[in-house]
Amino acid sequence: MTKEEAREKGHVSISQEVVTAIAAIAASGVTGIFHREEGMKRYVETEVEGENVKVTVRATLIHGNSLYKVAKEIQTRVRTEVEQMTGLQVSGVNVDIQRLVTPEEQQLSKKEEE
Amino acid sequence: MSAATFLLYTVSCLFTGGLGVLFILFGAGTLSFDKAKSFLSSAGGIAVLFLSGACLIILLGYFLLLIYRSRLATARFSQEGEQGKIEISPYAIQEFISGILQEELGITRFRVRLRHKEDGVAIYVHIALTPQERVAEIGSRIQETLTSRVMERTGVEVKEVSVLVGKIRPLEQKPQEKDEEDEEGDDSENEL
Repeated sequence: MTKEEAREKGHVSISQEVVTAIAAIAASGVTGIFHREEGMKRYVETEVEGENVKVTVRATLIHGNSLYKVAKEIQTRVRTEVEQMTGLQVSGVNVDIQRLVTPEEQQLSKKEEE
Repeated sequence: MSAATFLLYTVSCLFTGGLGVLFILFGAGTLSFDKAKSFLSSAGGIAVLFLSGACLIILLGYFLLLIYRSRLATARFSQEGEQGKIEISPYAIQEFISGILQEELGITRFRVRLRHKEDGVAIYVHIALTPQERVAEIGSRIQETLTSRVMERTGVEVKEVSVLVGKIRPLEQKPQEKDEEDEEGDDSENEL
């Protein structure tokens, strides 16, 4: 179904919250990122303008990974997932690496959550 | 605190305190405006006015410098790519460098400082070595390793790596002393 056909049949809208959730789930799936899916939403912001969306991910990474590669992976995965699942055009994914944690800190955090 | 900073702080305290006392005295009527006016019209009064003006301008410059430094200290290292911007906080880069120094180079006592330089970063590493360690060799290993690793894994260009060996630490230490010193040594410092 093309976009034109879809418009003729009615209107499909997606809330910003859903776009944020999709971006958060995509980002949390990247190896090397500290936050889990549930906690990740707090660190993701989206700006939707028409059919364009701009995503900002504030990430805490796990020490030992290439920050640059993880950031690139976040950009690629978030863009792909958001575009595929919403049909919106991602104009940019900004990644802000705020801090690093050691694998031990990550384990400790997991245990606390459990 | 350097001697110049101490002097600046002392002058600032005396100056602002003096102004405060003067205002109160004028408000209370102890000092009269007419007397002040006649004093300020004299050569001595004009000199006091110029000196006070100069002090205030110096204070303004100093506070502007402090604001600029604090803004720069939190400024992120940013790279614009096709998919969007990648920004890395100075704190994250500092943590990353600390990890390399500890895990790859086996250095446990150090301080790391970062500065923004052109489109990259200047890294200053302050370390303490034992008498057995060769300063020149370790210095160049730190420079080579940090230059390649930081560039490769953060994408931020390294413009400079300066190593300062500030202290030669004794080989054998009592466990209690060692613990205390390790705590001190692991405190990374960020001065941007």
